[in-house]
Amino acid sequence: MTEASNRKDSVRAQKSHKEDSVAVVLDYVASGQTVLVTGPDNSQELTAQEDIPVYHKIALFDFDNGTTLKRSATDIGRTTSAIRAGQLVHTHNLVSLRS
Amino acid sequence: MILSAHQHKADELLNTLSDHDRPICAITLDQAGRDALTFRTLAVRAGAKLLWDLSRQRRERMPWSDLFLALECGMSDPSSSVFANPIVGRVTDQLVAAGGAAVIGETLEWLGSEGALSKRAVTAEIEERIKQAVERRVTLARKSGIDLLGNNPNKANVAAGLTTIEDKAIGSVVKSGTSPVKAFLEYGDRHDVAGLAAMDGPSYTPESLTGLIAAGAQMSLFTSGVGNSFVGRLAPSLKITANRETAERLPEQFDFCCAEAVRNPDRIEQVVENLIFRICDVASGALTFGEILGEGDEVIARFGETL
Repeated sequence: MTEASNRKDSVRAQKSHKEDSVAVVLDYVASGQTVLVTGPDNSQELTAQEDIPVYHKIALFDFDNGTTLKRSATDIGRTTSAIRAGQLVHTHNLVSLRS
Repeated sequence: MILSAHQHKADELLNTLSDHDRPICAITLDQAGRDALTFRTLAVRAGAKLLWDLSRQRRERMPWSDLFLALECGMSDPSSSVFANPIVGRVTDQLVAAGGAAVIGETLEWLGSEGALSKRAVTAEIEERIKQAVERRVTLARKSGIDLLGNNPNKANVAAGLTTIEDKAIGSVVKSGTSPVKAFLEYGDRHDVAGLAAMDGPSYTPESLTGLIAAGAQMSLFTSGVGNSFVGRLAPSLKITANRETAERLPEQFDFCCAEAVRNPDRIEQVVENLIFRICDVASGALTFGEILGEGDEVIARFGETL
């Protein structure tokens, strides 16, 4: 599956717990695409602020630098910069709590 | 049927197992005068009698809450961590809520999530043992020159979307669902009560499954992303994948495909229910591919511990 083949209007992402900070996108996401986040409570929609590869994480809210983020109700790391909703969350802006 | 070279070893096992309500016998090389062909004939005759008795057993109807499931994953990919394992987790939650039991092992897969897992322990002792089990294996790995806290997640993990060690661990631990951890087991210990148990065991699937089944599980739920043909021998392994390409490429390996949940996450509840039906099917006698194909074995470490 390449980015070019994914020119749909919206793409899905999976949020597993109510308190999660991020969702996992289920397809390649192009910057500007609408992402439909399905979760245990309500669905939400947000706009991708950049390209997001499949199975990578998208920020569901704005976060300050140094915030602990959750996925699957588990602390997964600390932000190393401010992050906006719709941005990619990965090794460039999130580090392990053990580091 | 116990097959042994030595009568005294067989007698030890016979004594240990004699209070279980299962027919049992032992055939030894000692009995056969150290002759392999005589040994074979003795074993065939004894086996014939056992099978004649066993075939008289009839199934009794039981609630699904009587089940004890072992949870295993191998050759995982993102479809495992995002779909197959969470679906197994939901099934586990429902089983435990109904009064059933489950066990999760593969201790090093907890690394990164041992805080979250240990917080679910019902006692401080269990909480501590979960953390210690991980620490002990990390140290053991270090002694073999493997640094599990170094390049972890590795390049391939990062390219697949995993960001931190905590993030990576979620994909595996999520198989256990959300219920409290009622018991901590050493490798191969029995789990005789309801609820979820955590077992300190290797990540190496063949040994992992042997230990989990030894706890008393009647079946394992075994997820895979890219495909893994191994199954247990003492109890059926219900093979599960959420990777449609894998399921299509390996139609005689997987007993349940939940790729539908990937295409349509709104269908997850239905997929969970379908998996529960499949589990009850297998528990009622439906064969898994592993059993049909005679794939699988039980494996016990003989050269010291496996990580």
